[in-house]
Amino acid sequence: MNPRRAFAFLLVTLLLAGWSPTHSRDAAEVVAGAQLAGADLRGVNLAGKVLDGIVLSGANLSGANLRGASLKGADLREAYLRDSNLSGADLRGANLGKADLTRADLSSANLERAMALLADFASARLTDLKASGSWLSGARLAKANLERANLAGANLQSADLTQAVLKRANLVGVEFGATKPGERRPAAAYLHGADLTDADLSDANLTSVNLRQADLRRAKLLRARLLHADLTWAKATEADFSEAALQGARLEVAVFGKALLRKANLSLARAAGADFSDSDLTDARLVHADFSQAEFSRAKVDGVRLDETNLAAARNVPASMGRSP
Amino acid sequence: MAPPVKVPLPPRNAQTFSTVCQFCIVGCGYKVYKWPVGRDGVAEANALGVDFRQPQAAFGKWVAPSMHAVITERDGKQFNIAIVPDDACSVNSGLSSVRGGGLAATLYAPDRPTKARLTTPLLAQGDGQKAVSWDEAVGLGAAIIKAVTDRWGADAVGMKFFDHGGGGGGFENNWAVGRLFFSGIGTRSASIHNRPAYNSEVHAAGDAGIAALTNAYVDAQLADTILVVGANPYETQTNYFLNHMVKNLSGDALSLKRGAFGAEAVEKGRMIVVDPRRTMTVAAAEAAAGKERVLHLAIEPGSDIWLLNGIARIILERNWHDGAFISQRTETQTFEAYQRSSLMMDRPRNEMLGEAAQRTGISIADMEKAAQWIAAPKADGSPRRCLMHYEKGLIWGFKNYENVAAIVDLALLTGSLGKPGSGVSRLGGHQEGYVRPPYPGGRPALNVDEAVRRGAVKLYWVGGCNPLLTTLRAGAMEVAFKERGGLVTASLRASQGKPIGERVAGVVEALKQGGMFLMVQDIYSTASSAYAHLVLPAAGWGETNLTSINGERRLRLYQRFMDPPGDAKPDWAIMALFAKKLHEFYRAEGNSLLANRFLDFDWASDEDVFIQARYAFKGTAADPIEGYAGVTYDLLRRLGPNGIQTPTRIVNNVVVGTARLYEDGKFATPSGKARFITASPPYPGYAAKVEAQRKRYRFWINNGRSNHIWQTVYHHRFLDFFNERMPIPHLEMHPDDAKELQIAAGDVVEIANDVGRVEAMAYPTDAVKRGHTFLIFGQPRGAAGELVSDHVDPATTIPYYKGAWADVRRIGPRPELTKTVSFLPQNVAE
Repeated sequence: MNPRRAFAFLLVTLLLAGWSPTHSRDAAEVVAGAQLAGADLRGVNLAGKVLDGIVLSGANLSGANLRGASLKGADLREAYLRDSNLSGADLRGANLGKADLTRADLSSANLERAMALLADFASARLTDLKASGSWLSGARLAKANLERANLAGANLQSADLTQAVLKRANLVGVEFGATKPGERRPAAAYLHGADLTDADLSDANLTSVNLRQADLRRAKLLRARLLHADLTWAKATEADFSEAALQGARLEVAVFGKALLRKANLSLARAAGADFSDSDLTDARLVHADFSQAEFSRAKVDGVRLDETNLAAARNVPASMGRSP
Repeated sequence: MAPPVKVPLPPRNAQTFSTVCQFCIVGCGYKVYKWPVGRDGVAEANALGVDFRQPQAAFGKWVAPSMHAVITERDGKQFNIAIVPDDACSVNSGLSSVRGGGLAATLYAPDRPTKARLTTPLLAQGDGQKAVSWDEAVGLGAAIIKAVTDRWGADAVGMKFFDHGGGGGGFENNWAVGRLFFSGIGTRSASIHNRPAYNSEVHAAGDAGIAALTNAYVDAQLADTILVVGANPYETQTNYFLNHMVKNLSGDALSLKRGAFGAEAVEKGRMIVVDPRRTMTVAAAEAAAGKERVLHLAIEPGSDIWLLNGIARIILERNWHDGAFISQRTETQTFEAYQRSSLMMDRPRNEMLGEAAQRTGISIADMEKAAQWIAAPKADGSPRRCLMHYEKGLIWGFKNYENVAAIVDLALLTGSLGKPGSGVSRLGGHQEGYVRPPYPGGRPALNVDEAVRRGAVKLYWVGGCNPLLTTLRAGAMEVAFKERGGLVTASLRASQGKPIGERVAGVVEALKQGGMFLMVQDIYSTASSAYAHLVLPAAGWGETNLTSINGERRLRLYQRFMDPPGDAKPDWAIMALFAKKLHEFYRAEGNSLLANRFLDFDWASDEDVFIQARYAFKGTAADPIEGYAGVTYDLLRRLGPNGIQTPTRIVNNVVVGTARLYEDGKFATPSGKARFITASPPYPGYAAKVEAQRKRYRFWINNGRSNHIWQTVYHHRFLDFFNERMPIPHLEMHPDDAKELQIAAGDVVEIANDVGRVEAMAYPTDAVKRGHTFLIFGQPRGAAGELVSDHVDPATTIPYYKGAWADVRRIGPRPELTKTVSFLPQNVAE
């Protein structure tokens, strides 16, 4: 057994026996500097342990129980954490770059200001996660459950959130989008089919993001930047897009029933076949936009700005928009 | 002073139709008003909704004399027709070109020059042609097709047909033609109107996984830089240029740009024009943008690959390329090959660029400037948006495959695809309607012109085109028509009045002796139809419903609003008549295998053809632009002048279009990633026969279109307005060259080389460089094709139409021809 592996074995034995580095400052430093990179720790039970600053990069922690553990500033780069239990764990400032957290339980975990670039959270449980200010660009969050998660100010550029559940999540100011409009890759996140019902995406940057078939019902997108985003066939009933920037966005066949789009900028948007029944488009800009085949039953359109707007075959267009129904 | 022309106004209850111009690829929207003669609207109450008692703005809505005609329907009733540009159409926003503004003048009327339309089938008889019934024409024609196919095989039936949209065909007619020739007869001897084979003009783009038409027209308003290679959009895509490009160049689109791109740095657009001539496009762009924002690269012929790859080399070395796009959206091994082969990275930069400068005539400094305008990051560090357009100068240049590859590669290098304000697209000539079953031949396709001259084609069916004006080595084609056709003519003369079986047997004997049976299907008599044994009168634009796409893949319904003249029929109906007759023949002799190839032609209407094609047309992965799932005539009627952009898809029962291709980053290759197509150094030199011409003759004879005429002037040759301005083709030449040859403006000159000779009127202009000239192509009184050798790109069978060299000789003045022609400079704008 080489010395590193021997030390790892000893440290884990001590931890399992109930020793805690919080007993002394020196012990904490020992753990913080512990080199467990690549260690085989499958199924280990370290629930509630204080492991701040520990180096577990490349370690195999599949199925490990880290419930409530303190892992602040830990190095978990490329660690295997599949099916692990990290619920309630404190991962503030930790580095989870390229870590495999498939199906892991991180409910109520704290990832504030953590780094998790290109990490894999597919099908993970991330309910009530605290991850404001975290760096999750390129992360895979497909089918992950992020209900009530707080991701305010996080960076999710290029992240894959296909069919992720983000109900009632706080996504205020999240950086999902491309730096520049039209750059779908590598910068923009992928939220195809994601569940964002009741999520708060106010002020979020969703430029060029793929939100096809996403569920945005009752979501708050006040002032959100959705330039050139793809919301084809998205459900946005009762969502609030007030003052949102939707220039060049693809809104084809999307459902905006009862949605608020007051002062939204829909210039150059493509909204063929979209449903704006009962929506509020007051003072919205529809310049150079395609609203052919769209439905406008009972929509409020006072002050709507039209120029080169295509309303061909649109239904129930209010007379004030220049066309009779 | 001529008396004022009075034009009637459409009354409020005039019938209204939505249509699209029949001419260039831009496809401007027009409204057609139709009302009985004598029931005009009045100044204060009319269908235009304009009170003409009040002074009108300079560019307001009105009916110009050229926008009005009186037509006579088959039942003898007369109607007024007014065709005015549609301000609800996003393509032209109410603008009309000089061509589209005269659409009404092209309509058939028995009391105006368009009475020259073909109205009944004609069969060669005696020294001319006599009118026959459709039964007789179809019976004889189909019997000869069958005899030829049975004896010599399907490839002995040759065809040269339109593949156009607009007035030239549309989805319906193209589908019917393809059904008859490809899945019916099964011939590989097929060729497309302007070229000797059945092939794409942009095979290289297809091989890269990129379709021919990628962008939306609004991208020309959003681009930072518009690169135009070998095209002249002011004259040949007029309202795309005026309504979109100029708005960008002049700064009128700045608010749209700011809206589209938020905080991104935007400014008014720039334009780079690669063209040997200083065209009206260059002048108009400078007037709109300022000279400092327009870069004209007056390239030497045959050097496009050097120029585009030189610019690309600069972009790569300055690190202005889009690395993320290349790594994620292209096959990286092809990028490596591209750098090695096309960009010659193993040669020192200055050596490579020095040779590029020497071959192209473009300085390295100008190449640097072009590279900067195309790809240098903007003031705020954001990537530049470049929209790249190319057309015949590149496609018909030397050589087609690698020319097109060079611009497509440049687009891939800079990530100029799938983003607003970007794209790499043909500018296009005619509208598109290519909806056909698959061509049964391979690639490169058979050279049908050569097969006609050689005698392998026994029956040649020409539809909606005129090979004697547009094909290369046109004189040799005419000899084939005359000599090979003459044998059949003599046979028909001898068998006049005899039963059809004997007549067919006589024709077959003539074919055995080297003869060729020629069928021409068109709307007018042409130089080609004069040699035809069977002439079939086709319906034209406005006389049948048709659908087509424009240069941004915008699919619309061109509504029928009048009867075809006499017995003329839509092309699809003519195809159906022949198919049904062939089915009948084969069924009668018990050959169900062949009989079944001619089933499913029972179309009752144009919409039947449209729907059948919609279900059966698969297109190709590389060329998805005409796919139109879910579209119906009813939907197109409701969508009106803006239609829907193809390809379409059905989402939750709604038909949704595609404004811009490749926004999803997936290209039409098995890997889904685009491919760089390399040009192997040394770049190809001229073929032997072209090189021989270059050495022997003094002038390069470039050729192309002019603003106010269209293609072979098939309509316009009957209209005074156009004839007065172009009675014979003009030849642009440098004033110093003209002076040296003692040629004055308007002098008739002879242009001659080893292929043929053409007469034209001289137009001295500094638009062309010394040693260069420019000749209008396809003019019935002098076709550039008479001078073009039969060299084709071996990779694509695309001719080097732009590559003829000849001597020019003064014949002398002919004032009766040129008294209505202006020789003032055209390439100026204020």
